[in-house]
Amino acid sequence: MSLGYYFLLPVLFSFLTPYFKKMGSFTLRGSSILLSLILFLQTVAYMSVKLPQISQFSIKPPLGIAFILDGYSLLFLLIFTFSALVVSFYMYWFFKENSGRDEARFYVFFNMLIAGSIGMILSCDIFNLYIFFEITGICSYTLSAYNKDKLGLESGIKYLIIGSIASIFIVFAIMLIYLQIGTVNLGLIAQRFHLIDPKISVLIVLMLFIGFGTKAELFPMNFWAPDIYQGSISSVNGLFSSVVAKAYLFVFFHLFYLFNLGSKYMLFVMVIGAITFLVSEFTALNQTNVKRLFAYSTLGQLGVLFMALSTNSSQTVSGALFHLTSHSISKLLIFLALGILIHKFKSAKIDILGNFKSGFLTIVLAIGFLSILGIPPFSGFIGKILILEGFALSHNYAAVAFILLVSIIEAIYFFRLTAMMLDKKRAKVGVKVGSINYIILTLLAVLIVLFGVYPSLLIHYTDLAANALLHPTNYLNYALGVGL
Amino acid sequence: MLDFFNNTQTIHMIIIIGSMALFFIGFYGIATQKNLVKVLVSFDIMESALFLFFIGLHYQVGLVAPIVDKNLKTFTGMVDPVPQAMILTTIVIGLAVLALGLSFGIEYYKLTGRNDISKMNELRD
Repeated sequence: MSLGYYFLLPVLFSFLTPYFKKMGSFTLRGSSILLSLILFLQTVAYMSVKLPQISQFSIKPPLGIAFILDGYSLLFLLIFTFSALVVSFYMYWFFKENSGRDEARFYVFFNMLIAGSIGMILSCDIFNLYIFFEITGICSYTLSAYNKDKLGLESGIKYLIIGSIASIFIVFAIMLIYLQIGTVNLGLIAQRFHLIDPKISVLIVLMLFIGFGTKAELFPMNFWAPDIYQGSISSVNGLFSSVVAKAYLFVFFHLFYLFNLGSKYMLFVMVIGAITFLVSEFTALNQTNVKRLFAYSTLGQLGVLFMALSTNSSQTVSGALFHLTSHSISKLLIFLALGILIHKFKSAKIDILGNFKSGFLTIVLAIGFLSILGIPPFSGFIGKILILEGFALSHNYAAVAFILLVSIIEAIYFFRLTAMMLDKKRAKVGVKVGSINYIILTLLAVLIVLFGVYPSLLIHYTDLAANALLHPTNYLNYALGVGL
Repeated sequence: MLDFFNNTQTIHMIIIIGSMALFFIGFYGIATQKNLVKVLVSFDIMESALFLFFIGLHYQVGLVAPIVDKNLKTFTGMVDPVPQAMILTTIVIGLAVLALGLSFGIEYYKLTGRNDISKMNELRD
């Protein structure tokens, strides 16, 4: 299958959504699940194929448009298609419970969001990347305003304004690159980036940093993120946390290593990541809204990822990618489980975590919390220990101490939440989980435990991804059209 | 007297100064205006400034538009077509974002009767 189908199928589905809706809502929900399943199975099939793979359209690169799949994008593709599959199943339950909600509007933008995110990680020229960036952006604005109430619309408007600022910076950077080098192909840009006048190249890097950093929720451009999470429905929160933020992070580091900026800007990105981690975890301590709390927790984890991914050492980067996968699964689990509680209590106050009675949800949520915190035997532990090991091996003990110290702050609120769930004295209300949710939440929890107990299942692919990220020779050859 | 303008460097200078001025007008609008519609219009002004800047810097005196017709039989003596294709796409995207922003604004106004972005602060802890 050509890589172009990853983009074409969801877009086609979005266009056909009104017809599916006419055939009944079961067809609509079912076909969305089927589409996500096809994309996921196709990605699983790519796991045994020799990478990188290229799909070119009409003209050979570097002049034509091409999609390239290497080890680095394969890992993200797996995360994205898996998250899309899980969210599709979850939305089947959601729309059955909330009958009368506008289903077509959700599915149009949900599938376009997946298409845009996947396009961003596969595309190998910077202008197409910008277009997918905007597709993802527009779909996330609309999805965050899915509740057409005051809060939802406010979050949509805020996200749209912030997103427009980010996109102006990125357009400016692309224009400067084209004016200097005269190409939009990532391979050619990577080859000639050092030829740009240093003053202008600093400007370009700054613009790209602000543009993608704003979207990837980096400090100090992440003040908007908790508001957006608070205003949108929880399955969309799960998508933002495990797909959209990760797609922008992918592009950030893809360009970072392709343009070989590691030597100059490593310390800068690391410090910004550390500040993000520290500030977010401190702010998360006194939140009373669960969505805001986990938004801050997401920001904190992204800070750790930014610290670890900028190190240019293959062990730390591989560990960071493991942590990223584990974080995506855990956050998806937490937000989907919270969605069930929020639906039941019609409130997102932190008290709802103490007031529900369901052994299944308690266990599943506790697994999610402890995994993000990094407690064995869950996958978050392996991710964190690999990052710390990488930092220690490159003699960066300051970073090790910093991550451990800030994790203590994280531990305070996660243990508080877990204790709240287990507190027997609170008034308890029974919650109906729904049979589909039993399956998907169990699946996510099992994956967390599985990767925690047998990390080698995932480490093979994170090593592959780290290698492709740090040594993009094969990627560059394909992007330049050598030997095609 | 108009020969003065028949010079690539002069034209580029005028375009750089003009588009930067336009860019800062838009920036001023975003920084000072409270009305959502005015903020969105300011974004559009900023984007237009970028488009003018980019297209303008690729123009050179004596070259024609990259459209095949009776003036242009071979692919020489024309300006670079790639920036124009890129800007066309970007204009369309900008229009979509503007329309989406305005529709959010209308819905929000119907609900609350307000369009002041400094008062949109109900999302808080």
